[in-house]
Amino acid sequence: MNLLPMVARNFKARRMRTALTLFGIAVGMMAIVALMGLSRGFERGWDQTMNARGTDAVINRAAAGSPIPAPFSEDIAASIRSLPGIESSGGVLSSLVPVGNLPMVLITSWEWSSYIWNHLSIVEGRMPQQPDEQVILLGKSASQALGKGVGETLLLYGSKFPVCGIYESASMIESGAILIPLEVMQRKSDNVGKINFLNLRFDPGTESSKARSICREIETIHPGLSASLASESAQQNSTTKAVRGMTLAVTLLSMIVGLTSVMNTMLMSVFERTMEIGVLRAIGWKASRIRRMILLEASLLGVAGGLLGVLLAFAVREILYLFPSIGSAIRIEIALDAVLFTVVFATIVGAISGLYPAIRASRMKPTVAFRHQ
Amino acid sequence: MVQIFREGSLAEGNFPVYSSTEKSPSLYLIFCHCGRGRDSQKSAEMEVVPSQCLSEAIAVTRSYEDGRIQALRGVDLKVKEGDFISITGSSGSGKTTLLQMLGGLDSPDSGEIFFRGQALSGMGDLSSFRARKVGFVFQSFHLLPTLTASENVQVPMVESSISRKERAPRATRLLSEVGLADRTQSRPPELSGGERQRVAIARSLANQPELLLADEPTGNLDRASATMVMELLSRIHRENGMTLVLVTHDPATAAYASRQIHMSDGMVKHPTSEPPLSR
Repeated sequence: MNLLPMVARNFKARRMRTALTLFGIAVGMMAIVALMGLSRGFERGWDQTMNARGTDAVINRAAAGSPIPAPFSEDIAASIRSLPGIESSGGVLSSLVPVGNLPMVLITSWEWSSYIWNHLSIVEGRMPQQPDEQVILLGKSASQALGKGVGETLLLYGSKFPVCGIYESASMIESGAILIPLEVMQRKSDNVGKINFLNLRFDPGTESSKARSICREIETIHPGLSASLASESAQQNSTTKAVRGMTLAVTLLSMIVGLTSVMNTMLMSVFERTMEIGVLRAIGWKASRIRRMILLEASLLGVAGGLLGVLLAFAVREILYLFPSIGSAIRIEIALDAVLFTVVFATIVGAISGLYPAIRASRMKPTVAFRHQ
Repeated sequence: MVQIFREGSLAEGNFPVYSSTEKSPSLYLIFCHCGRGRDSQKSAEMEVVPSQCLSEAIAVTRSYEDGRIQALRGVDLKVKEGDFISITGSSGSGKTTLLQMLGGLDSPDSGEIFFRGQALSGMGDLSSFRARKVGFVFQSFHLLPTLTASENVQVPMVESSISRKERAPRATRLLSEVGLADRTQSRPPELSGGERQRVAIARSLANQPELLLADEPTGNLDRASATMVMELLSRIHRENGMTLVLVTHDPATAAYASRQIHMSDGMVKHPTSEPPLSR
């Protein structure tokens, strides 16, 4: 006979309340896991994109407040390109727009004849043949999500674009995107002569310290621009930062919900068991043991709520992936460290919530408890 | 005012204990003589009570609701080892409060409770005292409904030196002794009132207490079950020499005791034997 079976029986005796409390904690924890997974998925997708292209550094406007930074002049790109240590570069103009039945699709356009095109493999149809040819390529996932194939047309920027080919890319982001020749995109989106990313490839064998110093040099020459190594650019990306901010907000919110929910449950439990706690005190249980019992209950609610939240996050992810519009746009990568963080966080929240009820219970005098009857 | 015991002379190991009272108009100088082998300063003013004195209430007062309810008004009671005492009285006479005082569940406003000569007020946290020295039987059984009979009996053992391995067999043995060998795995809701009270009695014996306190142990039982429970308590007293104090309304239950005490208005009115103290 020890505390654990007693605590387990208490949960069993109050199944509905225990289940509701667990659900309350689990929803918050699920949101934390899902958002951490979303952030990780985005970072991973970005890294994949940079690796697939063979890009070493990315330049965009500094302090960009949106996932797609504001455009800047191609002329700046030309001056950067001429810096020593840079082997080649590729301008990119991207935008997020609603297309067909999808609320948001990445439209991207690459500088004609730049190295970026090299990693694409056409699985159906053909590449655009002229820099100003008004055609589009669809990533494989985008083609499935939009239900469009080679020869069909898509309405973009008020014009009909025939699909000339379907491509495959190692990057999940690119696979869900629509690709247009840069000149066409610039013209159609009123951004003639502008790009919002410049991909750089350094000379082969460039040390990372040298790469960093090139980035710093670019930022010095062009104070409005931010230059970051490809391996670090995902973390600098405003989308990543936004998701991280949301994760933090949801974590705080979940903490408040978890704290109040577990504390409410434990206070109710202590109140209902006034007599039981009084009897335990009467037959010799020390106040510290009563405290431990209540804290154990609260912590177990936290652990179980955290674990349930993780399971819910996996379930919700699979449900979201059933919708092509979501599945093609986002990846939720649930990593072990996120799972551990969430379970430990939920446990701590549970334990903290149990402190006040535990102290209250342990201070209960047996005779007062008996009078409560 | 000096409180002097009638009986005997100073015995080895007895010691004086001083207790001031805030609420009583008099300051009592109290001597308890029930101690066993404890070093103490002997006092010429002391007289001695028999060495077998187990528990003692001296000039105990207790009030509730800012003094509006006077539950105990200077009660003196001496419980000797092996005693079987019944305390009767109407509701509100203070009998349960006195029992709670003896068991360390509540503290007097003034006066003192001693156990084997040691003042409970000097023990600090009384949990260990309650766990190891006293067994409680309550009118409403107060078993934990989610635990089996065996687990209920084991609950007090967690605060004793009984090892985990020994607890379950010991609970089974105790339940056998109260006639419930076949109900060890039953939960309280599956048991009759009499069976529940017998589980509660087995629980009260879990840590081999020296004093068994029963508050209306038959109060929630039918006559047949009440008789069975009282026979059981009598047998525990008779065969194990257990010191037993029980509180009851019922004269038939009180009649099982070898010594009956009646309380009224927070005072002991008719001690049938050994008037405990004189002032």
